Amino acid sequence: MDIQMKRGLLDVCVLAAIKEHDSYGYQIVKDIKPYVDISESTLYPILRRLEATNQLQVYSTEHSGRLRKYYHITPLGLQRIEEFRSDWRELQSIYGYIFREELNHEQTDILL
Amino acid sequence: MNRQTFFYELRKGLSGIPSSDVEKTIDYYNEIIDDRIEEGLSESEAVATIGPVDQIVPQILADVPLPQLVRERLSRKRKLSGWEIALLILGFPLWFPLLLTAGILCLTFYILLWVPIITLYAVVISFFVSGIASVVFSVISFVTGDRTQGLLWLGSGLLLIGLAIPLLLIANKLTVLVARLLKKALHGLKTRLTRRRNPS
Repeated sequence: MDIQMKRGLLDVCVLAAIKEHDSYGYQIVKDIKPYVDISESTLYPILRRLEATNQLQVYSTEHSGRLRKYYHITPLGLQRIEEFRSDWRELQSIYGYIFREELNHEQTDILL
Repeated sequence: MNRQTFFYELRKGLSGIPSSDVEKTIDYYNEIIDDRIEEGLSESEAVATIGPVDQIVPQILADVPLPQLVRERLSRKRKLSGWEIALLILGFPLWFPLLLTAGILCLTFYILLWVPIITLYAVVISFFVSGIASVVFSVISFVTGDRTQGLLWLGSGLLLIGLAIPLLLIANKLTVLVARLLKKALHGLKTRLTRRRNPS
């Protein structure tokens, strides 16, 4: 996938991974990986960026004798996910335009 | 590679960014390695899955603004000794003009990169404008009954517009090229700023 496009998508994916409940780095990667190719090294700059822009907050909790950082989504982060929803509608209409011919063919195929 | 070597390499790569950021990065990877070990991997296996430091560092640097890298580099310098200060003051007439020249040269290079593009765009605009004007003149000539002149105007008008189109495409390509070049130069500068120093 195009890098610029993926970058924006990954931000929202990470936010979605912590939307329901707070999560930590390794778990976030494991949750997203089936859908988008992501590694811990890719995740780190994203987490930094999201923290810097106040879309998530970080806190540490003890886990088996060591500290583990948990990420918590903020109202701004939730807003970002909502913004993606409207972006997605726009993307769908663009997709429809780009592949209009094939889509038309499919429709006629179904009719036949 | 074990954990220690990995962090040593990472620190070396990140030596140009603020130390609190370096520690945060180390904490992050420490946690990832611990989580992996908890899942049953050995330490070296856990480190290996993270990937090479060469790939991690540019991703982190890309998000750090250049002024911050410069500031960090300057603030970490050790204190100057007496004779170094004296040398700096005495050498002022020498190093200041040199520094100024270097700065002006950089600026000149930057401007030089854009000059051909600006010129090209100016040519494109002038071709378009004169092309359209010629077509308008040809219409006027046809209306007033001067067919020869009308044809001449129409021909030159079409020629000018025809030339402007490929030139515009070339100008656009060049703009993208120069922008990419500058981005690469900026990235190179960032890596230079951070790689030159050893971790303190």
